[in-house]
Amino acid sequence: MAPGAQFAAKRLGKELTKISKGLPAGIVLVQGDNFEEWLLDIQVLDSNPLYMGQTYRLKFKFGSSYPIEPPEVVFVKLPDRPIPIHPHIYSNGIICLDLLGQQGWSPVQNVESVCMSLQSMLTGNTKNERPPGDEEFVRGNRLRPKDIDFYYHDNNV
Amino acid sequence: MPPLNAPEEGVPAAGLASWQQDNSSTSYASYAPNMLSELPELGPLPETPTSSPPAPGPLLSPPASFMRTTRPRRFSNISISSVAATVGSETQSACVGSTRDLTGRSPVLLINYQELQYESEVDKSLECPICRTPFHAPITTKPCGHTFCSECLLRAHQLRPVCPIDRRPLDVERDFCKARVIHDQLDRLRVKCPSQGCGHVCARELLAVHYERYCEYTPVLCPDNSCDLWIARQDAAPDKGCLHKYTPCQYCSKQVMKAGLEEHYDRECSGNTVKCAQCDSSVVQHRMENHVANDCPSTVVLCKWNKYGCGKSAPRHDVQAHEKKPCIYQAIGRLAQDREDDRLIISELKVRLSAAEGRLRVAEQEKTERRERKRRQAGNTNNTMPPFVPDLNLSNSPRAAASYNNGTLDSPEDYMLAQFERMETQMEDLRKNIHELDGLHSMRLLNDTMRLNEQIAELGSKVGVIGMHTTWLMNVQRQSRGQQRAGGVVGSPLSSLASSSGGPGTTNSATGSVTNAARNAPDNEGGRYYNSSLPLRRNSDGRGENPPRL
Ligand SMILES: [Zn+2]
Ligand SMILES: [Zn+2]
Ligand SMILES: [Zn+2]
Ligand SMILES: [Zn+2]
Ligand SMILES: [Zn+2]
Ligand SMILES: [Zn+2]
Ligand SMILES: [Zn+2]
Repeated sequence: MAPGAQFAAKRLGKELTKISKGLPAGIVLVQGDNFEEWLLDIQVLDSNPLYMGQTYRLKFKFGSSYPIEPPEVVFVKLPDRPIPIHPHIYSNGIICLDLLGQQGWSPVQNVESVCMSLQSMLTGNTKNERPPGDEEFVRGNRLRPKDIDFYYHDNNV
Repeated sequence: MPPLNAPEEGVPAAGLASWQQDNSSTSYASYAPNMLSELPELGPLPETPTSSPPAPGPLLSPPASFMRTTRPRRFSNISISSVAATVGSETQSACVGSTRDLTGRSPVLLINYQELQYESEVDKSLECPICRTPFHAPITTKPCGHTFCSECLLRAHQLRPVCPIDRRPLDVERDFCKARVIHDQLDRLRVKCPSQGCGHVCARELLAVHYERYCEYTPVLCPDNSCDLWIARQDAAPDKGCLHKYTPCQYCSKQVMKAGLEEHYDRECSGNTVKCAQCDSSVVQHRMENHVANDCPSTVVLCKWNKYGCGKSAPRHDVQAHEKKPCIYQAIGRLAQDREDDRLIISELKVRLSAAEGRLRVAEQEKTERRERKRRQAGNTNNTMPPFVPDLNLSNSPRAAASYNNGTLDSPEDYMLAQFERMETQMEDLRKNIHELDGLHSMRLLNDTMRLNEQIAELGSKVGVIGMHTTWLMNVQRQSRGQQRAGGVVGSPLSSLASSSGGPGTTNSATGSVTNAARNAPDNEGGRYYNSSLPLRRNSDGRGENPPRL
């Protein structure tokens, strides 16, 4: 067991207790029976035509240093769970959000706050497009999301 | 307490009791070493965290992370970095590792404060935003005033030297300070003893003393020197030897580790159960006595606040419901418990102080004797010198006393003086704490009464306003009735209301117009003149026609 795993498990246990008491509207915990990987569904609540009526599946992967280090968060594609279209979301589900990077993460964040940030990131978007260079990126990338050095060109989208 | 076999220096001081194996991973957790005391030894955090599951360790070899090859340093709060020094006093009182060498006892597993179970839900404001458990050794950031456990903040700071909440750059040396304000509240939290099998609940501040000195369930190093597993203190008698060997259970003949027998009876043993005569549940024979005394819902017991006046006595499940309601004596009971906790702390300190004083006295006597001898040896030539009287005012100026002796003192005395000085400051701290607590209590009371007073005052003013409304309404009614009685006269109540609503400014102009009217029509009848001046009079008394606002 890695030295921090206790810490991560304990913290995730705490979050789980809180989640069991209720999550904000549009966020549902699908699977959270271990302290490694959780699945959540999110929906955009307002009537943004890009995302209306859709549900998206998020996969959280927690390292043993969580919450000191950020979790790895990606959208997962399933028959009824598409990857939302957004200039910061690659078509393989990888999200380019500074909050999830080494620099932008803070240990006071949690699963719930990350989901809410993603919700609002989708709510505020009007562009029906993928990030520039999406195709090459999706074809060529073998790195794990957290190891990618994103250039956070535009923080207010 | 059975005498313990103190292991020799260099014996690995940590390991995991493998009799914990059959439990969920949470039971390991309560045995995890206290991270704070290990801070200086923490290496840099791993760059890429492994994604392997927190798998339970193999059966007889404890996970490597719980092994420690060196004993903790003797004065960990002195030798570690300045950060830990800023939270030093809590470290000293809370961290088992720092005191055990002084008491010369067998090493015990350190308390992990993040794993503690609290008696009741803890206020959210006392929760660390990083680990989401009640703060342990809290530190506050000076520039932005955010509070975290020192362990949590230091871990986060190691990765990125900024405040986790607002990302302000922080410097360990300069920007961290002990969070004094919430200390009292944290100290008072009622917490369960982390030792498995011990149900003791006490103020968090007292936990270290209980756990480290009195708790019979605290894991200590196995008395067998060749074994580095942990064993509950009550089972650690040297004559029992190592209890980490396997033996068949007398009821179900399963192979069980000796130390885990009790646990086995409690949890998994299926052999030889009997029915409880009172509650009809099936219990392992071995446990029947315990079941009747502690668990059986049909045993008649007293309310837990009976010491403080509650006379309830009924079968256990009834009493439990009664306690949960809650029992009306709970408030008094809690208060009394707090007081008892305080008294315990004080008496503990008194004992330490008097011990230190006694040792100091002995040391002083030796010192005078030595001095006397020296003087007699050297002083044969000078008999007129008066006998030396030692400066007894040591407590105020131990340093001065030491320098007075000009370096002739050797270490035991110095050590005693230092000890004494420490006791003194501890007593002083305690006194201060009690004062603070007193202040806190009366503040709380004051706050509560103030709120009540405010509410009463508000109600009073509302009643006053309603009274004014009533008078106003009655006035209007009386007036309109009077005017109706006067009948067919010029200013109707409606028009008088309208003319007066303009406020003081219009009053003046109205006065002007009235005097004009009076001048222009000097031969008017008196009655008519009187009637037209009516609105002026009402207006001048300040309150006017408008109802006061709520
Ligand atoms: Zn801050
Ligand atoms: Zn914390
Ligand atoms: Zn205990
Ligand atoms: Zn052993
Ligand atoms: Zn058995
Ligand atoms: Zn029973
Ligand atoms: Zn009662």
